[in-house]
Amino acid sequence: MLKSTVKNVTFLFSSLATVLMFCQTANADPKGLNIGAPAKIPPGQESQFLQYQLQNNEAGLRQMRVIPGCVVGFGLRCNKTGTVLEQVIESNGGLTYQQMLIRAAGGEANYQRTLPFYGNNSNLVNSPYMSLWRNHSSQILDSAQYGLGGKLSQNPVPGFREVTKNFLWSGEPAGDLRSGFVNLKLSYGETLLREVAKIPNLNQQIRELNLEPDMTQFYLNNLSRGLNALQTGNKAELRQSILTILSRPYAPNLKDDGWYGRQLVQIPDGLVQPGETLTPNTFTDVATEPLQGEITTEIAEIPGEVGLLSKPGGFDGWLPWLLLGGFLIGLLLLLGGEDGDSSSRAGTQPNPGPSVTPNPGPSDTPNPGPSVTPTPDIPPQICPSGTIRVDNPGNSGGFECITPSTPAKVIEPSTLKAIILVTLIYCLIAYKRRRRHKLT
Amino acid sequence: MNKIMYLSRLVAITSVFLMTMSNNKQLFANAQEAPTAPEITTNQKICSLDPVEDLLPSLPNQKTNSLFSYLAEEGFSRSEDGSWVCYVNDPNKEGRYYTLFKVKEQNGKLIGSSFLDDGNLIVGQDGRSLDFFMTLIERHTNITQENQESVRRYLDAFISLVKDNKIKPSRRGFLFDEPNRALIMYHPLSTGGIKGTAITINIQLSKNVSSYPTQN
Repeated sequence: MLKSTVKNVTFLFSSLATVLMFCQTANADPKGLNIGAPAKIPPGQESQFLQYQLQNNEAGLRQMRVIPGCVVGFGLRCNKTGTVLEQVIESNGGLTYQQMLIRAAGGEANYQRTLPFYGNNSNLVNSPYMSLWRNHSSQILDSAQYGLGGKLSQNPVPGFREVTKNFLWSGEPAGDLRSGFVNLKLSYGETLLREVAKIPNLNQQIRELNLEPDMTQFYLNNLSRGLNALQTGNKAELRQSILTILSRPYAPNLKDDGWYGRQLVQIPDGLVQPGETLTPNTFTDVATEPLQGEITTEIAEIPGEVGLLSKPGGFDGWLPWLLLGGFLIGLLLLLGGEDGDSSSRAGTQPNPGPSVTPNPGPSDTPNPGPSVTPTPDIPPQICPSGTIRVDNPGNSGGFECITPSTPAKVIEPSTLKAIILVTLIYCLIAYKRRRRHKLT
Repeated sequence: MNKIMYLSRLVAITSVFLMTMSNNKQLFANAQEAPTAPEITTNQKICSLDPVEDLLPSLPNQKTNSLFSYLAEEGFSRSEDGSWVCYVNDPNKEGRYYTLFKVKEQNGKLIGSSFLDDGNLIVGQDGRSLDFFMTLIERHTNITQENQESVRRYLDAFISLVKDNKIKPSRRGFLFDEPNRALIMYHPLSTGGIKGTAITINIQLSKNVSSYPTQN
């Protein structure tokens, strides 16, 4: 008996593990826009991708470099060391990203003076995380070219030096937009390193983020390199380490092919292609009058329809839970009772089939077919259940029935999935039990 | 012994149930959204720039069994050529109405437009266009909920460029999803009663999605 109990318990938990594994693999779907290429566009880099399409429209560019699989950070911050450092600074009550950027840019006023040079582009705020690798390569999706909406000019801009000389980075003040962008990025990196250096047990805190060992090591190496350069005052080394911290993502299983962890994506044809359009039209008030008459006559009929439609809507939040709860209770009762004979089991077996059918599928359009249309028998003074009667002072004695809430859609497959999973487990248990019955 | 069995089953089934629930974000989202979502939808129909209009019942068109009948809930009406349209009062000219949104199925392709009279978006048109396009995408593609967020950000970026005059009207369609071959474009209007531009999306309707009786 003990043996069979142990066997049963093992069986139950092994099925549990199977379900767990199933759920995890189901969640491991690659995320992001699917453009028909083997890799997806990293979530958060959609506007960069749009810029890629706009800027390379006729250029025939067929290659793109993207950061694969984000573990930490989002969008341009994907898997970069700076993201982790910001997290640590923030969790220790230090400066926010915005505050560090403003400090790097030489204060709020100076940042505001910088903005107009970049066409008041609000994306300038993200510039520290835009790439400039490979001489601002057009292949890299997270490069400044796509982040800021165009290639940055290298032509000197009058008066720009007056602004960039206030940036934290103590190199040569930038006279053109491209070096200005680089200086802002380096200034931010230096601020970030200075702030992170104030934190005690820094390495320990990064390890406590519980990232993959390789990933943790990558971040720790980049950090110590940066902190060393900051201490020794080695400008060239500091510059290089800042670029690594802000632009180089952690990438597993990727050899350094000179693209700093970015995966090559071959772009299929048709990224930009002609589409079909529609024609609009206009009309003036005169044309609307008969239409309005039609509407008012129909209004009297509508409330019943809305009311009836909203009836299932009232249960929207509860129905799946009630169903599942009831089903589970039934299951537990069945399993918990003494080993009864199979006939009594069959008698009490809950049947989830028919009780699910009232819910339409997710892609179904609401079917206002004959079953939903209001019957003219509904007394005019009574509103259908689920609606509120609102007296209309304008019309003598008239009133309208207003549905307090529009029916929200229930995405049924999710509920079904849960039911199917539970049923599956139950069937396995029942099968096991029957076998045991046969054996004994 | 039976107690041990019973308890282990209880634990196992409860954990499977909880796990399914927590893994199933869709179900969670729906269960949680149920009380809040109606507030948003009742207050903001896609085709209504008037808060009073939002309270009115939908047009009677929803009885027709068409691919886009759900748009009746959003204040759209079905026109004779089978398209579903949303008109708006010209804010600059009393009594003039023009098409703000329009959607139609044509040769297995869904075409949905947001029209810019004189090339300008009216107040709130950017957000409503985004909701309009997303409604079509939710209804007529199999893009997962998670990736719909990506699509929303992409379309939002596109509409922002139009709003900031940073994109030239042309016939270029920009692909944002496969295999639905979903495109968005910002194009000039050559025919019709409006002099201006439009933001249009195209979606290739898959056979099982568009298998409704196509009376649209």
